[in-house]
Amino acid sequence: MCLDDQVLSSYIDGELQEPWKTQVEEHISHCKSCRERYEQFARLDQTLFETRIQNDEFTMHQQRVWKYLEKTCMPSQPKRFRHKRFAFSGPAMAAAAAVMVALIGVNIYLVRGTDSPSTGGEQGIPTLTAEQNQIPLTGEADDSVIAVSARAHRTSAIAPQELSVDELLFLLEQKGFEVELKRSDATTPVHSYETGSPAQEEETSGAARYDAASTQEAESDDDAEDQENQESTDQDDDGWSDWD
Amino acid sequence: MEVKSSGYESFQRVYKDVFPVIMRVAYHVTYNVDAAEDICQEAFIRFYNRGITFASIDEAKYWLIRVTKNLSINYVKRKGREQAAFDRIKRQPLPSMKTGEDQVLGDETREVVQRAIQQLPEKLRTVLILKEYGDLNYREIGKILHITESNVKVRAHRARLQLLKLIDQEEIHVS
Repeated sequence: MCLDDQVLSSYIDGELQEPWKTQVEEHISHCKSCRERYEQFARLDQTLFETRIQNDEFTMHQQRVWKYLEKTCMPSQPKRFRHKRFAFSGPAMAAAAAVMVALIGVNIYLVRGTDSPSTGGEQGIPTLTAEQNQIPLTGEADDSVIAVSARAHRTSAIAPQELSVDELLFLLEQKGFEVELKRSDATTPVHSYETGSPAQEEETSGAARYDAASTQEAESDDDAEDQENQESTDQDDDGWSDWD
Repeated sequence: MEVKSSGYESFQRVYKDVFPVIMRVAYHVTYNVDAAEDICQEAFIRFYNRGITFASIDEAKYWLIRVTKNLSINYVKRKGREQAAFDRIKRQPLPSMKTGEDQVLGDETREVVQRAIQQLPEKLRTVLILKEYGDLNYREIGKILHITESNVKVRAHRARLQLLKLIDQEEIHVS
């Protein structure tokens, strides 16, 4: 008995298991009509293979899409990393804030303890620089409030080896001062650390919106597919149990 | 090994491995290399944005192929509505390594096969393209299309028969 077309088709697709595979090969070797049928199928497969688009025909497209994806989907890869570090590390945030405050210039009001001995108030108002701060601040002042104008200069005050505002505050606290920080200039351009976080938020919410939209779409595609399959399963799935 | 679709490294790996497959699938459904590029791009954007964790790179591949197939079919349907049936079979010129006579013969054969494939009913065409150009076996195609393996067998066979008939009608001997 000659071979069924479906058997030949499975054989060509490499989906036929033993012992049927050997049986088919044996049959083809001596049955002319089946061999011709097989060759017809094989030629078709060969033609399909020859007309397939080759990888080198779309290398350019592959690179172009990758560039686009890198730019749009994940442009913030390095940035996001940096944001994360600052967002989740308390001391780093504090340091960033401190540097920012030092950069834009501050007025530091030093509030002295309750019972302060009285000496020359005017002399107790030094210009606060990193080098000087320890010396004048130990001196006594007669007023209960001494204003220390610390217009820190960008060049001198924020060098990393010198005292940060954090360290300064710590020092002052150690010496029994109560310190209140006030920014003298609210319109000063904001440092990049501050601009970092709103930008990140925007980005995140943007991505979230896109995600919601695309999810819906993709799901609707899937649904369509499911319906199609429901319809198709019954009519197509015929007469194949003997090959499973 | 788990694959996170929005993880940079796993995304990069999936892209490298899977792009050629979905590009071939998209191209052989649409027969338009620019449309195929757009479709692949859209598929990967969805892949990234959905942030799914797949059990393996194969699972990620099946997901991407399914989305690509849907997008490609939708594209063809939309195009079909927009243009006359014959117009949409127009071939995009492709760069090729072949030259001279080979090129001419290759183009002719290509056109005949393309026209024939495009005339196949969608269900048969999808299986045929996934098998021939996606290099997938019956089991994998079944997974992607959510149909049984034996259903894939039947469709593959029918697609083959119909394709032979259609190519015959084109009266060009494929050899």
